[in-house]
Amino acid sequence: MLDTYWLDDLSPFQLLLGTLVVGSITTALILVGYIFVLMVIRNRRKRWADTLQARIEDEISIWLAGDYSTWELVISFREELKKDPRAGGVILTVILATSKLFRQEGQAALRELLTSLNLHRTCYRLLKSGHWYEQAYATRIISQLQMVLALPLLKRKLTTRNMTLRLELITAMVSLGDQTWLRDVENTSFRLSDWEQILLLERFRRMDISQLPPFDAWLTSSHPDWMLFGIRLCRHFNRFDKVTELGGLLRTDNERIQMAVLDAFEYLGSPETIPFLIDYIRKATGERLIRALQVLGNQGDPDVIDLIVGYTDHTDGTVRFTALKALKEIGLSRDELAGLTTEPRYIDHLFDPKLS
Amino acid sequence: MSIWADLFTYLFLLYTLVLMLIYSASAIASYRVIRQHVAETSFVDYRQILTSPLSPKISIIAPAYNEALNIVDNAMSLLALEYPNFEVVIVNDGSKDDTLQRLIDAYKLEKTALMIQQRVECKEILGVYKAQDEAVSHLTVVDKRNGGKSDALNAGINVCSGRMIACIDVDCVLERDALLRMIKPFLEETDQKVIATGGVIRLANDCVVSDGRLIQVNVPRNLIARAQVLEYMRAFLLSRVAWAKVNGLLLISGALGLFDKQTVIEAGGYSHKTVGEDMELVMRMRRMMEERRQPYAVRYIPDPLCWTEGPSGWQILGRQRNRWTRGLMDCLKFHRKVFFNPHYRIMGLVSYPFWFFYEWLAPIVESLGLIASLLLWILGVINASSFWLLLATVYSYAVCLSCFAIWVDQKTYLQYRSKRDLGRLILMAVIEPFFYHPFTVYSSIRGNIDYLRGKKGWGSMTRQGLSKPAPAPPTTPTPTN
Repeated sequence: MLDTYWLDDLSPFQLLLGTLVVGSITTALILVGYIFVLMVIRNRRKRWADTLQARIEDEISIWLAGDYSTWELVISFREELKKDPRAGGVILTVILATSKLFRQEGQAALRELLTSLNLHRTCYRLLKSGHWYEQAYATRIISQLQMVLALPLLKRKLTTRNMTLRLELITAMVSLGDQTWLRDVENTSFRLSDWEQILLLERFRRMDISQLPPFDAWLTSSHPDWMLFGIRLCRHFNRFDKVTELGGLLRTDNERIQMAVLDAFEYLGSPETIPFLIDYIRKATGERLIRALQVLGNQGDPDVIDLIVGYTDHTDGTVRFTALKALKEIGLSRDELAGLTTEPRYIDHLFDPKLS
Repeated sequence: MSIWADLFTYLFLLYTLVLMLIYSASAIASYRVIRQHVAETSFVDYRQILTSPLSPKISIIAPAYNEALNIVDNAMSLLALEYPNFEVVIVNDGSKDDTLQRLIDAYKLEKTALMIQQRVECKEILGVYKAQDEAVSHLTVVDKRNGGKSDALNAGINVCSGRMIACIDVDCVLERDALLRMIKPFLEETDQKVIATGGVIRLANDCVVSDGRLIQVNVPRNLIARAQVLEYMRAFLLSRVAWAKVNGLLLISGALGLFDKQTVIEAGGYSHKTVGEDMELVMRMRRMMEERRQPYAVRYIPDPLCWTEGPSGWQILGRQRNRWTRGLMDCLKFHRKVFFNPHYRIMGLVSYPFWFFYEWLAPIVESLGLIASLLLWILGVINASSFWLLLATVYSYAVCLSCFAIWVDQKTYLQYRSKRDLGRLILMAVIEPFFYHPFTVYSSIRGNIDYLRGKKGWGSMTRQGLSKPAPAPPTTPTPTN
């Protein structure tokens, strides 16, 4: 009764402000409480996880040394899981970390252990219906422990919008040796960013895989991103046998593709690239011309001197300078270069040892 | 009179409620973005980029003016950053002390015949120095006539060779992997061009720094610096992240920003006409992209990447805020064409109006509101309980927002771990609106007045220097047999 009377006295304006004050103070108090509770819970959980992790690591070491049978280990871990189902996460973490230290046989044993504990089902469940980060984590375990049976599940997820998950999926599929998915990935509507390409290239390079993805197909892909990735793969894995195909790609209209081919040519450094470069340089302009001159210079072939000399009186200063630099790379002396330009500062720059 | 009082009250209430609504929405959106970012980051091994030849070259440009005391350590810290392909360009902006000589001596630098292209306007470059030592071959020191920070940055742009430029304050402490993290947005975007990326700046006062590396995070003992810790958390964690999410970010802090060099050059480089050169550049780049109708984005990394020393005295803080206000006014004036102009899409319709109404106008509205309320109260035409309720609303909301910022930090980056530090921050959230906020409002008003009077320049900004680790206690010799 008293409350109603008191509230009746308030204008809507005051009521709104009062609600905001009460709401803000309550929220602030809840947040402060939560911050401290969070701190206590976090510390406790960390202590528990650290202790459990140390014990699991010890037991796995004993088991790997052969002093403990798989059955004994499984019983011990099941006890832990019975006590607290969250122990599954810790066990998975330890198995994942341990598996990185081993090759096929060791990984097979750990895979068997995972299956005996029924944790492989946890991985599948997470992959099917977890948040994206749970799916990515499960994918990583599947990839690391070579759980080939999960391939159909991985394929189904390939259309994901999440870049991080897609990266994990592609890495896992390459790691599991399945190449049939290639077109599926390529035909998803999502672009393959430079970031993904860099990470995938580095992951492929570090992987102990017998067969690379068939990037020959990517070189003729209708999707520029995948074509670019194919070119970069050629460069990364020293595919000298692909020079002709790469040279053909210099005729595409896409500037990124052309620049990637020039990068690949520079890295491969094969004399077979020179005819393609000579052909290209005659049509190239701007940044692409500068890059082509650099690449041609780095090849060090004296047969192209006359061609490059033609660019030392180009209208663009950067082109003139790059041409002189290319000639220096091929082996022309300071005096010879000085005779080709009216700008001595270019020569000073090129022959300054601190700038080389 | 009473009608006017009512009108004033309701207008003020509306202004406050809209501001609270924007802050709340951006705080919630920011939290969601940060949580997603932290989850993504846990799957990325940034060190994989270290071996990639595809990483674009980054030139770090650090202007230095009278920094002789710490310049060698600062340069060493920058040279030790983790990135596969980068150079450090320190621009000595006509220092009156021996900043240049210390660098020359420490790194055995020699003058080079580097060919410089004048791509953006800057004062005369007197010399470019490089070391013969291979270990520091990625250090370039530029000596030039004094022209201010923006001029020094422009000189760095003319000299550097990277595709990307990281413009930083030379005395900041960067996380070792800051460049690796900041390059990600540029590389992951496929449908639009990322023209700039900013990172979170945090206060390093009383934190322990060793060899140019932050090794222990502490809450500052100084109350002014501590209030800034909270302020930075609110600004960087709860606001800029959300603005970046909707591609509406207008400001990338001068302490740390990574830019696409070509876009910066095309936009004309840093402006000499303002002390808010960092914000002005971003606005100009955005305008240029909008006018060209090119798809673009300005991104933001919520990770704490850069630690800087904040002012710990009222005078220096006042000067800083005064300068910020003048810089903001310049930016709003130079780019007034954008105001509610649909041609500039989110920049014109949302970001610029927000900065106008809620960054520039807020301190003025707050001061006028307070003065008017007091006047109306004296005249007896304002409802005292309503007045107190309004004040209580603003105050309790400010405390709530600060607590939310602390909570977000605890849920994501966990920078402050001890109960004592947390207690200090929470207490600061309660008391800061009484002593710190009024001062920043006052400084902002002073900034407005100084701007109208035509004041230019930065004003001096002295720093105390970041904490070094305490020397190790003498060890007791172990007895030997």
